[in-house]
Amino acid sequence: MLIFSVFKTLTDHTVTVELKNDLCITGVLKSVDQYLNIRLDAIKVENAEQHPHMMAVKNCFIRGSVIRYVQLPASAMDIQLLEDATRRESGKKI
Amino acid sequence: MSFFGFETSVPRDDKDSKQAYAEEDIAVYTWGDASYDALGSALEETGDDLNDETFGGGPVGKDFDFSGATNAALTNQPNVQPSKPYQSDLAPKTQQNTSSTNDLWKNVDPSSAFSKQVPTEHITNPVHQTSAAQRTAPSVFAQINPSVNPQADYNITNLSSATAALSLDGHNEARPRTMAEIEAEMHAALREQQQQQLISQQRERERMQIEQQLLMQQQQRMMEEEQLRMEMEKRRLYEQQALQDPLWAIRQAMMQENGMSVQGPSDLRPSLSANVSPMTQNRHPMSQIPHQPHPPHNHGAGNQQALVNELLLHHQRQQMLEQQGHPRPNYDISIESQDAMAADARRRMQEAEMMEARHRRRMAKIQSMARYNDIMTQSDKDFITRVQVAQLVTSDPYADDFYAQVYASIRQQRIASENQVLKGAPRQGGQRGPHRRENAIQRMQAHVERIVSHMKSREQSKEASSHNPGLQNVLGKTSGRSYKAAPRQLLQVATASPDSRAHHPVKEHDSVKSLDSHVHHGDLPPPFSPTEGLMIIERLFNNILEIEQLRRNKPLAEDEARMSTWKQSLDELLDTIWQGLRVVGPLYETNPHPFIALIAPMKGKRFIGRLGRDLTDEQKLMTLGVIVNRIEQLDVIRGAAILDSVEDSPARRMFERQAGAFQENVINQGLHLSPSARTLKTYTALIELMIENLSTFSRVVITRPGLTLLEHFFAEASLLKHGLQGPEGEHIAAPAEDVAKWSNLYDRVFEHLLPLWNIMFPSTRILAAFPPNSLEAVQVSVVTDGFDLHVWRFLAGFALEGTLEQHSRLVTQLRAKVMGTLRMAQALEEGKAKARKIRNVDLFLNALGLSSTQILEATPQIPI
Repeated sequence: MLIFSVFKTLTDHTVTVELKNDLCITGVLKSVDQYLNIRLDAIKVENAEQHPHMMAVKNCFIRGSVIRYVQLPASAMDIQLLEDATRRESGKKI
Repeated sequence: MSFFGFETSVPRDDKDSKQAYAEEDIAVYTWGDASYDALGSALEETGDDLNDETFGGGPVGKDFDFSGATNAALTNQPNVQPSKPYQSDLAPKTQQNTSSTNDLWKNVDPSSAFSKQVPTEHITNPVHQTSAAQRTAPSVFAQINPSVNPQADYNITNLSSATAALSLDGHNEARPRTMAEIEAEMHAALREQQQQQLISQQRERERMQIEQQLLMQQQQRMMEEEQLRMEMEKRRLYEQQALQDPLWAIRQAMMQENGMSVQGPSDLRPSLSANVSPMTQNRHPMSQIPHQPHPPHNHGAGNQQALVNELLLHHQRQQMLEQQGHPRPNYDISIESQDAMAADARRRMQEAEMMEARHRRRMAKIQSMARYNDIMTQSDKDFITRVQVAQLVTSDPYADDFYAQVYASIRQQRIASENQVLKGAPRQGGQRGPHRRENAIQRMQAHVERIVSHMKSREQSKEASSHNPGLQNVLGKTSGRSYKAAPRQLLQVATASPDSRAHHPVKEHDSVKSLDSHVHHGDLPPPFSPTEGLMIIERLFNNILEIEQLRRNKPLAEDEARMSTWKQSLDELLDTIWQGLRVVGPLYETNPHPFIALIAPMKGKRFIGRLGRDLTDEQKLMTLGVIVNRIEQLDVIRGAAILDSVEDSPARRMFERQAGAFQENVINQGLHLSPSARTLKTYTALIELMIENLSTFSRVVITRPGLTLLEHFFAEASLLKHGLQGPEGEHIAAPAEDVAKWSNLYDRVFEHLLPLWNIMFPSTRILAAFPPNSLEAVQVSVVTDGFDLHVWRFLAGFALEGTLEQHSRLVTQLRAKVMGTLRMAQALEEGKAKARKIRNVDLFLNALGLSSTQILEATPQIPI
């Protein structure tokens, strides 16, 4: 739930989602659910010329299980709070 | 009795039809004279709807059948040609048409007055006329002809001759044109028309479509106008055509005849043919056959085709006339405005169509969705909602959604503080109604709250019932869920309580092998391994999180009982943290001191910064005392040698960050004393503590973190020496004995530092490895100037407090350094590096009331 919680605060921020098929999509995060399915708006694909089929796509819904990484915007992150949140998360498990 | 044995008796409505014809004649006769009352425009000219009325669609009587008796005598005649009935059928109708055409002509006929006097049935009733013609051997026109003038005579004669040629051929042998010629002419004309129609068909259809749309849709008025205009046009065209080409009327009649020939009663033809044929057939047995443009079975289609052709022809002619610039009577709307209206209508039509399409699409969508209406019952929906809510919401939002909740609250605070700043200008534009989405969220939140509170109340009621164990289950077991429902845990891992070892501050190292022997100083063992140190810090962090959580749930000030327990638990937690910091305890049992070991990692330094406001001044002073006392054990002092190099490395960068964090988080934030504790005495004591061990002091002070710490204390003390600003702005002088003590201490520090100044500069230590005054040394010095800055700064601050005598001693001591730096500055070209060198030196010289420019002007070339 921690990452879900983090993503909730990142709505309307620009994130870069790296998929397991090496597709790298940058877009505005519109919504995320508890499976970390992600909806992106105004997307841009890295190496667009290698993925011509993505040229016409303006927004997309990404299934959470196909995501490898999400690059978060540093300006929208509160590192100390994130540390605290991870502490709480780990504290629950102990 | 008839040829084919059909009923030949006189129809009963014969008199009625006769009456109808008689009545119609009145309109025909009044049309077109001087007192024309526009009734003619009311005539139906386009369609063949009223052909029955005109041509007598009803069964035709037999009262004229004079030859019937003769035929009866001739019934033994073997073959009657099939074409003959049509000939006889054609004749009266053509006659009628011609006569009506004739009527039209009478409006230009001077003898129109006379024509009115002509007996009605003689001219207009085709049946009677035929019979009359048959009765009186010459044609009906013979009655008219004698009285008309030559011009009219010509016209009428021409027409009647054509008509007569069709019907009563035998009477007009003297006519220039034969039947065959006329037929050929008509066929040619027909073909021509058809060709023209084919060519213009596409254009005409479009035009017609548009016109039809116009007519059918919003332009009702226009439709009427159009109709009126078309009628007028047609009538005029009719006249014109008739004037130009007398045969045109015949062609028209032919087309109408084609259309009408099927409409006659089926039993009439044979009987008529039986009646009429003997007279005509005998004269021209075969010449009548080509009269049929179409075979009889085509008449239905031919009828429609004729209608269409007629309509198309009208349009075509009308266009032609328009192009020729013929004025159109009784139609005062210009072509341009008509076109504009058409375009406007078309545009409006398109808009309407688009609206219609949109509406249809929407309705289709709703329709398609409506298929699934009421598939889920309300309880299904509730169930789904519960599942979703259970996944997303808990009674304690901080437990599962900590980050988002706290982030939102922090942002809210920030926005609130910003709003407070901007309170002078209240927002006005942003007062929009709640968004739809927001509304939905609010509804959802309310729903969730209801569910959560419901669950809570159930739990509470359960607990309440269990408070009374004696009464529990006396009415039967009500608990829905037994322990069996919960799956048995297969693997049970014993987890240590996070606080289990927190209360044994120093003893922890017993269980840990000393892995970090490289930090082993002397014989003393380290308090704990670095890993354990990190775990202790984590536990402290957990404690501080608990404190913050406790603060968020602070009870109201009125609720004293809960307030006191809240305060108590808060104090307990703070005490736990203080114990966990291990500041208090034997100073010399371990190396490093447990607290010093705790703040060695970055996390520890950050923790002190975070703790800040939760430590009392007393605790802070104690902590500062420990730091100063065991300063040599600080990681930032111990590893400071890495700074004595111009090489950049990750380790060096890490150390820079650690040094920065120590100064910022530990000294400036965490151990920042409150104003009440910041006294000259405090800092004097701290500096005294620093110089207690002189060898340590000289080692520490040449490091940057050590000098920064000393500078921090010194700056505070020199500030406090000049007294404080009281709450009302009054000056509170520092106690005299404290100032005296401070002066005394300053002198001691001055003496201690004087021999150290040169070595304090990192550049001195670094440049020692290079040959003096070499180009390399100059280049390296450019880098080391940055390192020297903090020393020059402290030197300036320190010199400010000194006496003149002390100043001269400082200058004597530092003359070599100042001159060396300025010499190197002279060797450099103008630029940032040179400016920085001079600026560094000036920091110190300005404090003494001197300037580098004096030296540079006095000695343009500084000797070595």
